[in-house]
Formats: sequence, structure tokens, C-alpha cells
Amino acid sequence: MSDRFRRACLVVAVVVGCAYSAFQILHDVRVPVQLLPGVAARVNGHPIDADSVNRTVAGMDARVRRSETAARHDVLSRMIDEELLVQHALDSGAAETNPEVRAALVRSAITRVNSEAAAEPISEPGLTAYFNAHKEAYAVPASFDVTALYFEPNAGSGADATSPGHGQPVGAIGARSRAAAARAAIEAGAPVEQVANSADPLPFSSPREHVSPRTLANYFGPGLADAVGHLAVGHTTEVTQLGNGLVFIYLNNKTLGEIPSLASVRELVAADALRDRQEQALEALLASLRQAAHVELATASR
Amino acid sequence: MKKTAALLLLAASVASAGPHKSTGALSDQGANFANAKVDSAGTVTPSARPAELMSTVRTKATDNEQILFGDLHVHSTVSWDAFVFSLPVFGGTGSHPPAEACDFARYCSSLDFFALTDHAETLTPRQWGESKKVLRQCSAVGKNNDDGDLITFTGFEWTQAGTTAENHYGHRNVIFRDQDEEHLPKRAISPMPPYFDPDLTVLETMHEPRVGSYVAMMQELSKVPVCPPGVDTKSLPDNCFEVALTPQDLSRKLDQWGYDALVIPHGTAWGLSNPPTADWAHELTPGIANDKRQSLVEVYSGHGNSEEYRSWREFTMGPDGKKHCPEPTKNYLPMCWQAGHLIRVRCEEAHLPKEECDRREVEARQRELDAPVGFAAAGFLAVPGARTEEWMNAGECQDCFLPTWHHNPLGSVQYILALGQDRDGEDPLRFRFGMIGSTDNHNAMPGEGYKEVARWNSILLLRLGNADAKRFFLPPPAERKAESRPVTPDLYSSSWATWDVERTNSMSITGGLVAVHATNRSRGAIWDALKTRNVYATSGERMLLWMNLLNGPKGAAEPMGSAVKMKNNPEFEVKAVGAFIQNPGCPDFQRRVLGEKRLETLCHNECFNPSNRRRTITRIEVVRIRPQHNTSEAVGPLIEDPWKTIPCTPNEAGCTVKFSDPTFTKGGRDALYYVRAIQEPSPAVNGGQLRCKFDAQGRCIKVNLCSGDPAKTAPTDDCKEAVEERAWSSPIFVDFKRQ
Repeated sequence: MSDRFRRACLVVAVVVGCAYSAFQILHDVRVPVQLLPGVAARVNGHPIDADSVNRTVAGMDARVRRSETAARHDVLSRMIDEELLVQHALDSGAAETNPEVRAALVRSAITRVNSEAAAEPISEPGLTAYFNAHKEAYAVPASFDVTALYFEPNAGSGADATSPGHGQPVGAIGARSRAAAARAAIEAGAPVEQVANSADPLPFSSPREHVSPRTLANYFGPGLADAVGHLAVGHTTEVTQLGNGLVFIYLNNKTLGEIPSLASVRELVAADALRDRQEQALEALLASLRQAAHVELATASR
Repeated sequence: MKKTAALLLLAASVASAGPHKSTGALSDQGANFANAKVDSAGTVTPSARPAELMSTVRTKATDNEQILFGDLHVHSTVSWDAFVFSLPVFGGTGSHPPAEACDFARYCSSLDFFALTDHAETLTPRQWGESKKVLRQCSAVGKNNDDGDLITFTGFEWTQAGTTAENHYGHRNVIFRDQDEEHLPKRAISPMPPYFDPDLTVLETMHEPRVGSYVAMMQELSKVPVCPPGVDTKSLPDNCFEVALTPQDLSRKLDQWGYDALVIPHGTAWGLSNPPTADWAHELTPGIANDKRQSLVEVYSGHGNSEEYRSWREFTMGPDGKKHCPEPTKNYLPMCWQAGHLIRVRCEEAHLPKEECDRREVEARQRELDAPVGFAAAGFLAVPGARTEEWMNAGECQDCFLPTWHHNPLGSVQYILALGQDRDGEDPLRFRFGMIGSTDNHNAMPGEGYKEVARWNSILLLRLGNADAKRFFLPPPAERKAESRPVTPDLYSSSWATWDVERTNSMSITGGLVAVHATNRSRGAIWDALKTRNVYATSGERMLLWMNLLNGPKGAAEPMGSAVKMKNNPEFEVKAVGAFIQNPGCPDFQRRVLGEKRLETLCHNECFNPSNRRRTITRIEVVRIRPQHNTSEAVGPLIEDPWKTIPCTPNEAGCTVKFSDPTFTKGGRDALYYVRAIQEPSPAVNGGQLRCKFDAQGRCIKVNLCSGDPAKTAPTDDCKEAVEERAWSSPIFVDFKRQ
């Protein structure tokens, strides 16, 4: 092909193209062009998805719709206008300056991550693995039946003891040696009910059977509650100061805690596992974005 | 449609009686936020507390008992006002959904139970349904959802407020025993038609993105039709907005549902949300006083203490039907009096004639009294340009324990308990309330009073950190003039501006708790304790308290909350133990389960973390109240506070005292007795409230407010001063047996 011929083709193409554009501009005509399948229109290069148009048309109130064609025209026209406004807003810096827009974009990004993470249901092995890794958190734990033995200083036998704060000296045995003797007797096998007769009335009403460690702590303090938690049935804690007196606790009985079956807490575990997956997905996204980004910090911000 | 319109018209006329004035329609400007979404209810962190510290009890109910601690008054940002407070533009920390309340109660405050009570006036059936689901999920870690490490109760706040004594009943929390869908209503019940926040248009000017979600909330509300009146509640469509304008209506609807419920009045003495003329004597009617669901009253919350009766009044009513300004007493300076004083001072500074200053002083007092009622009576606006500090401690109870703002003695719990009307052949009409405390927290933080920290993020605080917040919460600045002005709604930009925000910020405190004597940890046992009033209130500390009638008619000890008939002089025993001193930070197991990051955002790195040392009880104060025979009997002499004060020897193991009433038989009159166990002083957020400096005559000459403006009081300043934390027992009601 000669150079002259090629130059002629180029000139003809340019003239035809200009005339075509001029025709469209002057006569305000959108000349149908061949678009990719699934694309209803393209606005400044940005596609408008045909499915969106179809869904919107299908959702229109049949009483309001004039005809399928008219409805599609109206819907598409509106979507084109929306796209133009979005582009205009972005061009005028809304994404940089408008807090509402920025917040909506952030929300949208997070929602997308969450949706993608939730798209795939947690598999059965995944659920089991998650449950096994976090069993402790689902445990329904032990409860305790305790007897507290209290010893007031300068008090005698438990039957004659007066209310703490109004005590009168009865007997000469120090509280600590009484407490130690009582504890030794119990550890040696003496029935606690019998030994308790030598103790003084507790200044407050002791909790009765089957209380939680938290309730025990509310009565006797976290130290003693913790000690009871490590105790075997039939044994006693160390003697501890309680106000002006001394106390130790005997463990009558203990109901062991248990890990529930996965089936009984399945919904809970699934919700937690999903949330965990979503949080990890977001962290992973942020990590990759940070890695790929160029972030500069002012000296004062470091 | 016509019926709905008629209902709206009718209800609007009543709604206009209240400060929550429903506009009846959503502003068109709401359409701008077309893409905003309503906050979700959240997802509960499903982990129970670890094995070694938390447990369920798998036993049947026995006669044994244990004390459990809870909070029956908690708001999430589903409540419209909590949402507004949470806006970042106002220094808030954003969404605090119901699920967060669950996690906070479980991990931060380590409560045994709590109830979620969001405001019914903006609660759609959908939101109600979501909250129910979240609360069920919260309780799910435990056998049968019934005896878990944390028991949750579903509820709502019926936030009624009128403008006169006749149309005012006051706030109540409605709480349901059960949690399964078959035993819970389909809707909350509101005291008014849907409340469309009239301040929305102001909020929309603030370029705060979260306002979009608030608008979406209002938009959703606008699409729920009001339920037709006069229809059995079970026959109503699921998705309608149900209204009960009076406590009697509320009771009827609860009867129709047929579910076990409690109705718990609160804020009975608040100056906020009660009109100045409010008087609980107005509620001494069979339909209200006899309501078996009303077995408890909230005596203490983050708003303050509503316990104490006083003989002073904010105003007196003249024969002309006008309010008159009383003179100050030793412990009370009326607002109206101070209004007159402030104007007088200005008038004299302007060298105006004495007669003119006399006239202006009297006029100022009247204008303060005649101010209309918004969220509160905005009488302070009668003095243009007055700073909050100039009001000193006017309007406040000066010798009450942490009183609520503008405490109204005619709503005090003591006054309510003293009201009575004998009836021939029937039991007297009286209120027999047990005492509970709660937080009324609006950040989804049940039981937040476990530590006196984080004033900025936990207590009810309207933060004034920027121009938008000041514009919204404060009245516009006004020129100082030597003359008062009539108070009209155009003087304030939003309803909040009637609230005297800087004063209330300085009086807000960390919340209280309810303690129950339960036979075990189950939902049923906790509920039984609440119904039988075997409960007590605390000012936030986990004190232990027992009060028993030793010589009751059954021959066995009768616990607090009991009602007995006897002839003998009653004898009582009280045991009280102080709370454990808190360690800073959180226990190790919380870190293990929650992780550092979550611990920081949820608990602000401060959890319920008791040491092994207790505070001591310094004394037991006994209050005796002998209810009226009829409503014309003067109440003052019937309330004896304190009737006895019994000192305690300092002992961490507690204090036990006994006392009796040797005049009971001779007096031949019904009486009730309750005690306050007073703990040794300890620092508390806003413990000094207005922090007055007094002159030799005991007058407040300067206040040092703890401000919501960070420029005046740093957010890190918790404004702590020593207070004597306390527990209030439920009364034991001893009726004189005449035969």
C-alpha cells in the first residue's frame, strides 16, 4: 500500500469521525453503539449494569408503569442522571472533602468486606475448630457448696459469741490458734458440723449451697474465692483475715463445670466464628492496602 | 385511615401536654439522607465468663439464698436520646447497640443480671424484635437460657411526662420475666404517639454523618402506623405503634398480654421531666396504687437520689391560682428568689430607683415561676445573660445525699411511702414499694458505677466541646439586662436548652445497683425476689445488706420487703458489709477472653476488679414512716429520718445491729421501717456536685461546676470528692393488728 493511499485513508477516517461526532452533538443524538453484554449504557466510560435496570423495572408498580419500553427508558435515563451526578460530585472533590461522602464510602468498603467474608458459610470442620479453640469461653463452670468458719479475737465458744463490734471477751484462746486447731481437726477427718461449733457466728449471712465463684467473691473476696476454686472437696482453705477476725472455708461439695456440646451452642459459635472471619478479613485488607500505599508522616506525628 | 387520623389528632392534643412534644410528622428534610441505614442491634460476644470465675447453678430452688447484683434500667443507642448523646459531633463515641450492653455487663461490670429498657416512644416493632433476639442470645450461654452467668430481662421505658400535676404520671420501666417469644409482647408500649425529634432540623445542619442514621431511624418510625385504639392488644397487627396514655391504660394492655411483668417508677423526684407542680398524691388512686406489678421504685440512679422528703417547696399556690415565690429556708434557696436577687443586683448597679428595683425583683420571681415546661421548666432563662454559676445552688436540696437536679419533695420516695388513704372494709390505699438502684446509663453500660472513673464516657454528660454542641444544648447567649424577660420557646434553640445543662452535668453521678436475695441464680429466683421486694438498692457499690423482722407473726424471721400484721412491738436485725475496694484495671481472665483491643474499647480498660479489702460500715440509719390515714393529714411529721442512728465499730467483716420500736403497740398505727447502711467515705465522680463555697451563715457564695465544656473542666478530670456510699433496704411494712 503506498504512502499516499494510507494518508488518504487517514484523512477520510478523521473527517468521517468528526462529522459523526458533530452530528451527535448538534442533533443531541445518542447513537446506539455496540456495548459489551450486560451493559445497558456507558457514561463517560463508566458502565451501567443492565441487570440493575431490569431489576428496577421489574420492581416498578404495574399500575404506574406505562409500557415496558417506556419504563426501561425512564429508569435508564434516571440511572444515567445519577451516574452523572456521582461523577460530578467526585470531580468537585466530594470524596476528599465531604465527611458524609467519606463516611458512606468507608461504610460501603467495610460492608463489602463483611459480605464477601460471609458469602461462604463456615464449614463444619471450621466451626468445630473454632469451638475447640474457644471452648473455655462457652464453658458452664463449677459451683460450690461451702461452710465458712469464723473466729473472733478474744471470743470463746461459738454459742456465746456476741455480734462483732459489740464483742465481750469470752475465753482466752487467740483466734488464730483456734482457727488453726479447727482447720487441723477437719483436715484430720473430724465432721465439719462438729468443728463449726467451736467457731464464732459469721458477721453476715453466709451464702448457702451451690454458689458461683463470683458470688463467693462478693462475700469473701476474690482471694478466698480463688482458693476455693482450687480446692478438693472435703478440704479447707488457708486461714485468712476477715475484718477483725479470721476465716477459712471448707468445701462441702462441688459441681463440676462442663463444656456444652457444640450442638447446644451452635448458633452462638457460628455467629462468633463469622464475626472473627470478618474482622480478620478487614485486618488483612487494611494490611495489604497499607503495604501497597505510600504513607508519609510528619515528624511530630511519628 | 380516618381512624388513624382521628387518633393522631386526639393523641396530639394530649401529646402537646408533654415536653416530648411529638410533631406528628417527620420533617421533609429527612429525605436528604435517603441512603442512611438504621443502626443494627449488634452481635453479642458469645463467650461466657471463664470457668474459674463464673458459673451457673444447676440446682432446684431451695430455702438457701445468695445476693446477686443487677441493673434494671439501661439504654442503648436504640433510644433516641442516647443516640443524640452518642453523636461524635457532641463528643460521643458512636453506636452502642443492645449487644454491647450484654458484653459490658458480662465482661466489664460482671453483673448477675440486667434489663434493657430503651425508650418506647421511638421504638419500632422491628427494633423491639431485634433487641429481644439479642437479649436471648446474651443469655444463651447457660442451660435453657435460664440460669446462665448473666440473666437478661427484656423491657422498655414508658417515658411519660406531663406539664401539670393532672396530666403527669412520670417515667416507668416495664420489665418482663420471660424471654421466649411466646411470652413477650410483639411491641413496646409508648406513652405518646411516635416521637419525631423536633430538634432533627437543627441536627441536620451539623454535617455529622451519623445524623443520617438517626434520620433513618425516624424515617422507619414514620412508616409504622399507630395501632387503632380500643382493640385488644393481642388482636392488633404486629407492626403497629402501640400507645397507652396513662398508667391505667398501660396496666390494661399488660393485662391483655397476660405476661408476668414489673412496672417500676423512676425519676419520681427529678426536676428534669417532672413539671414543677408534680405531686405523687395525684397517683394515689386504685387503678395505680393497687397495680400489683408496681412492687418496686427506683430510688437512685445516675441522675441522683430521689429518696428524701423535705418540707420546703419551689413555690406555693395562692388563692388566685398563681404560683408564689416562698422565702429561702436554711437548706433551700428557691430559683425564683435567686432570679429576683440577680435582677435586683443588676438594677442597683444601674442606679435605678429603689421602687423600680423592687418592682423588677418581684416581676423576675414571677417570670421564673411562670416559665413553660419543656424537658424541664426553663425558669433560669427569665434572667437574660445569667451565667449558670450566678444561680449558686438555687433550686437544689442542700442537705440531701447526692440529690437529683431540682429535687421535688412531692415525688420523693419517702413522701410516696407516706401517702395513704384508709378505706372502710378494704385495705388502705398506699404505695408499697421495695427499693432498687440502677444506672439509667445511656451508653449501653449496665452497672457502670463499679468504679468511679471515666466521667467523660460513662455518666450522663452533655459534652460541650465545640460550637455545634453549645448551639444545640445551650440557649443562645443573651445580653445582660437589668430586667427579667418572659420565658417563651423562642428563647431556646432545642428542647435540651431548657435543661440547664451545665448544672445537670455537675450533678450527674455514676449509677446505682439493685441487689436481690435470691434462692439461686435462675431467672425465676431473681424474679421472685423482685416481686416480693426482697431486694435493696445501692449507690453503685456491691455492699451486702440484710434486714429481718425477728418477731414476725409466723414465728420466723421476715426479710426486707415483707408486709405483716402484728400487735407486738417489732424487733429487727440488720447486717451490713461494705464493698470490696476496687483494684485498677481488669482481672487477667478478662484479658484472656476479650483480648486487649476489645477490653479497651468496651471497658476502657477498667473492669469490676475487687481487691480483698473491704470498706467499713460506719453506721446504720433507720427511717420510720407511718402512712397517712387520709390525704389531708400532714406528711412531714409522719416521716422520721433518721428515726434511729446506730454507730458501727469499724470492721471489714461488717456491722450487725438490732433495734425495736417500743412505741408501736401503744401508738396503734401502721408503720414501715427501712435502713440505710452507710459506708466509710470514698471518692466519687461529681461527689461534690456543685462544690459550693459557703459563708459563715451557710449560704452558697460560689460554685465550682464540673463542666461538660473541656475548656473549663478537662475530660480527664473526674471531679471526685468523698461521699458516703450507701445501701437502702426495702421497707418492712408492719401493720397494726387491731383484733
